[in-house]
Amino acid sequence: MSYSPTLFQTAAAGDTMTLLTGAQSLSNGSPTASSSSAAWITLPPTTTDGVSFSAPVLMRAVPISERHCRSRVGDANDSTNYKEQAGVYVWLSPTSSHDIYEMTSDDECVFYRSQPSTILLEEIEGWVGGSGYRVEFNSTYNHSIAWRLAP
Amino acid sequence: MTHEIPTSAKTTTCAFFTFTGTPTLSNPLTPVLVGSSTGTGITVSSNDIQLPAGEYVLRFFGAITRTAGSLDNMRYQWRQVSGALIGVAGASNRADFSTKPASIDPADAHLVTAVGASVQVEITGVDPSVVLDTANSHAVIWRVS
Repeated sequence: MSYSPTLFQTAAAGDTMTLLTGAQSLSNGSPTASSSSAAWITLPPTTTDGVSFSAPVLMRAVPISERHCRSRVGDANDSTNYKEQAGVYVWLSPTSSHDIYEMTSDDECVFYRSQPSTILLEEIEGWVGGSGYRVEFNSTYNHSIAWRLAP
Repeated sequence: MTHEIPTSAKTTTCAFFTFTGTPTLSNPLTPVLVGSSTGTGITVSSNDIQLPAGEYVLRFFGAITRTAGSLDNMRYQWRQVSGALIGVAGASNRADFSTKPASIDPADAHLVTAVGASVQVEITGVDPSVVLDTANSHAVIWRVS
């Protein structure tokens, strides 16, 4: 992504909201970049880690797979919370003439954390067999929005 | 016990839009401001959504009218007027889900402006004969100021 730097209030940028982009790996959809450098966000230190927030947060993640999959995606640190998880169904076009958008997701993850937390975006369960594969997170389109809910 | 709200407290407001137009490569759709919070200050001029100074999250969902058997789709992204594309592209669902529940991937962006800015939703990819579903294409913009 790109922004016009001259429009930024550097000191306040991203104080309350941020756009998180990228994927740590094919199996870890946690972000690699943030539109904000604010201290309430800590990007994953390694490719197996999640994104950390030092304040209460609402995060809406759009998990994008670049391969056929039928999967549930959520926070691996809270994998029993089904209502936060996304059902991702991706079926790539069989023909190259219809490739406007090869990466689709069918749902969003919606996470609410009332305390400082780390959210690790991974596949919780997937159907494997036939044409089914595990989610492979796409680093170009995978993204999230996070709202900081309190100081 | 009483609690006073600090005078420096920030306020979150939002605005909701629908869209019209024919999806055409590198062209914007036309927004219609349906409603907004009091004091948001967001307005529409032609194809531009005009934002006063503040911090914003912008989210657009583009729907199309799909005919059975069609795999046609469109891709879209926010653009700062007279500037660059911003945020992450979204798209209509690419498979033929005309008879099944389908979803749309949003184009999302985050923008902080000290002097105000104008933004558009631009079509960055489109198959032939794609028709915008004006009843379902929509955007939400949150402002913190």
